Amino acid sequence: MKKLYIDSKRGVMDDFTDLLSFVLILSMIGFFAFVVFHTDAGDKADQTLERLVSLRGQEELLDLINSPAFLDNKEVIMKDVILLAVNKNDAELFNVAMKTYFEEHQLEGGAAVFDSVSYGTEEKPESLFSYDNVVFLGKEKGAVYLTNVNGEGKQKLIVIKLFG
Amino acid sequence: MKSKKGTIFHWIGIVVVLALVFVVLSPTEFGVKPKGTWQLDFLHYNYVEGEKQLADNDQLALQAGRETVFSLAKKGGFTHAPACGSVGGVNYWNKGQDFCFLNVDGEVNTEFNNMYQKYDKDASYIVSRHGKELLGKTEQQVRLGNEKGEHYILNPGFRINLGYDFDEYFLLQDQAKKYVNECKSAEDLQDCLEKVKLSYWKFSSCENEQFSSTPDGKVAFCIKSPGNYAVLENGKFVSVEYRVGLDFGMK
Repeated sequence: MKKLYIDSKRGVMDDFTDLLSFVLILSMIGFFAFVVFHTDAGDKADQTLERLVSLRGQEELLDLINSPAFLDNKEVIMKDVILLAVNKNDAELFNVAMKTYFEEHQLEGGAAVFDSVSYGTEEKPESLFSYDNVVFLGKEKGAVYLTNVNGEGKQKLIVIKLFG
Repeated sequence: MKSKKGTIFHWIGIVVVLALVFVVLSPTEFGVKPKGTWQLDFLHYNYVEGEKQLADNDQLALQAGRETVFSLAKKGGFTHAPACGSVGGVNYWNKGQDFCFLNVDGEVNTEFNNMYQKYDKDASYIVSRHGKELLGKTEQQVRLGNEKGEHYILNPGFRINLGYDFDEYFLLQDQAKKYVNECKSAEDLQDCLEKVKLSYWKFSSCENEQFSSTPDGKVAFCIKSPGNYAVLENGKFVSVEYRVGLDFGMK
């Protein structure tokens, strides 16, 4: 019982303040570590979700170009319409096809077609055609290259981009 | 002797500070890693890229398929001049009583590859038909890789819908045999043919029908597709018309 009591009180306050400051420092370090890791975990989860959204955007672009479309009241593939629009320089044809598709699938955003040379070399390439149904196009969802066998010069290979 | 009871707290503090410095300066990444990085990279750089290439590939195959339809129709279904002969650029389906066998599947396969190789010299497909669809198989591979040495390999086979059935050749050949049998001995060949032939069989030209025959009884026909098939060509749907010759001479 006697050993439970402090025999000498010399240095007890020093030791007590040491203990107090130690606990305080550990608490603060623990708090900052928690905040850093928790924030980091949140950021990393956001990164993963962003990549998943990007992947979905690429799939939407593939769905668009492979979707059925109509030409002269006969069913073709959207790729046919896009390539024909490029070869005939027919923006109206492109816009009508895109408008129909975007409305049917209730999409918001836009699509644009570029020749591959301008797309690959210029910082802000000018599109051959573009369609949108929003004020701000949003981020690029995906881009795909298509061979245009009937195209001339730079338009032998075109790029189709989807925004949303 | 000094009391060393409290020094342990100072040493713990120093160790903690040193640990923090190590964490900051160490090249090793601490903290939470994004989930699914490998899987998303795989999908993004392999699967999606592969699908994009296949989409382009399918379009080329569709283009080659459409060209095959017209190319074969102009040549009566034969890739090269048949044994039955060719007169004025028109391939003949028979020589006298002997009909040349038209191997539709073989001719489609050969002509398709001829058309496709204009766009890809190294391509080689085994093409088969399924109704209005063409199926292409190949031994070639499309290889996608990354800097880590990992590869994703896919097969650029295709299945395309031409909206046209090559089986029309069988129907037309049956009709051709019937016409040759019925009119081979006719005194007035034109009169006989006009009585037996169906309306979509035209003499010489589909636009401007005009009977003409060689002295030995050879007659060229332009046959409009009985199924009214029209295939996309340069942005327009063009009716399929066959150029065929029949030999009514019995030598």
